[in-house]
Amino acid sequence: MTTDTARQSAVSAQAEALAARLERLLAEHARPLERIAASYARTVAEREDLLQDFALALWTALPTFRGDASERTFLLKVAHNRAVTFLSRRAPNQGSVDDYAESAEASSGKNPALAYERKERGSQLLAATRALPLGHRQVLTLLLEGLSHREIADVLGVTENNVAVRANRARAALRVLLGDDQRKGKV
Amino acid sequence: MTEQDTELDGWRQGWQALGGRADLARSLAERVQQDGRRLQRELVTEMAWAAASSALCVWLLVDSGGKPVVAVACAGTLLFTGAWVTRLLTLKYGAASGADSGLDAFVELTRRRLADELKWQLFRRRSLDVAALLIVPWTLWALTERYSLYRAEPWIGVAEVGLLVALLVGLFIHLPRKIRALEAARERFEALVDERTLG
Repeated sequence: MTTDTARQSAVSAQAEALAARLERLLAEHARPLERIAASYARTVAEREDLLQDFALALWTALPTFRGDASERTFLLKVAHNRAVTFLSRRAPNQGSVDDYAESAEASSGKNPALAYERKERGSQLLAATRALPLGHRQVLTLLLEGLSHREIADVLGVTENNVAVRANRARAALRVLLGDDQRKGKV
Repeated sequence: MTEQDTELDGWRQGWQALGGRADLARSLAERVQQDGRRLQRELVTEMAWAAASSALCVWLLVDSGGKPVVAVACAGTLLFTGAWVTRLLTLKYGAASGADSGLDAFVELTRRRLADELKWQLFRRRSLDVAALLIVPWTLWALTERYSLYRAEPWIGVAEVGLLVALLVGLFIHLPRKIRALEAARERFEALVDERTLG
């Protein structure tokens, strides 16, 4: 009986520790997760579902995390993998309306003009990234999050050379897309 | 600093200015707790159903003294339950593993999961055909043999025949839909993988 009680309290302590760890991880990395979700899902409902999927996948994967990579790399790996499943599950033509630009909140200290400019640039980037093929999109979003080629290679499970090639192609494609966007804006 | 790095830094500033919804982390953590509890409840419920149906089969076998019809029906049910439990445990293990593997490994894992899920649904569909082969003749027999009883006490007819037929028809509609949805998901996934490889 005493052993059972001890085992139960150990399990409950483990569950609490896991919940606390997850909450801390989410609190530290909520913004990158939000951006990744936005780069895959266009509507509010889709993004909510995807964010929920990210969090649930993290919850199930967290006990297996042994600290071989940084927590950020681990988190981004889980999120990008989950996003691939999300894309294959999503019905075709779903989410054609892009409502992130309206709902996105950008912060740049106390300078509203700079905040607006960055928000605009961020929204354009988001629209352009969504137009990229998946392989390019993943590399680019990770690059924009500030990861090094080595870290991106770790997240995607590919070589650094492969990341470099994809990054160059993605950047070239993004330049074209942003150029197109700017021209369209002037018309 | 190169020109390209300046360009990347500019993009990064714009990109990282996005997001920052208040209270997102806490609401996600709360929902995960709820989802986790729901998933555990679902697993326990399904295991309980599997245990109950197996126990019922054993009891029926013993009670009937090993009648061939009962033995065949119970063998079929036990076979189905075995496949069901195996799939449940595999799914539980699968859900907890591979989420943090590299993308290529994850793609392979997802491909295998989709194939397994499709196999399971096809097995369910075939099991339904077998069940229908047993249920339809029994229904006809019950309707002719117990017609007077059903007429006198219609609720017995509804409980015995009506529910069974409704369940059968429901599954005959639901399972092909499920299989088509899975096949479509698999096709979409393969298209994505192609795009990723080409990218």
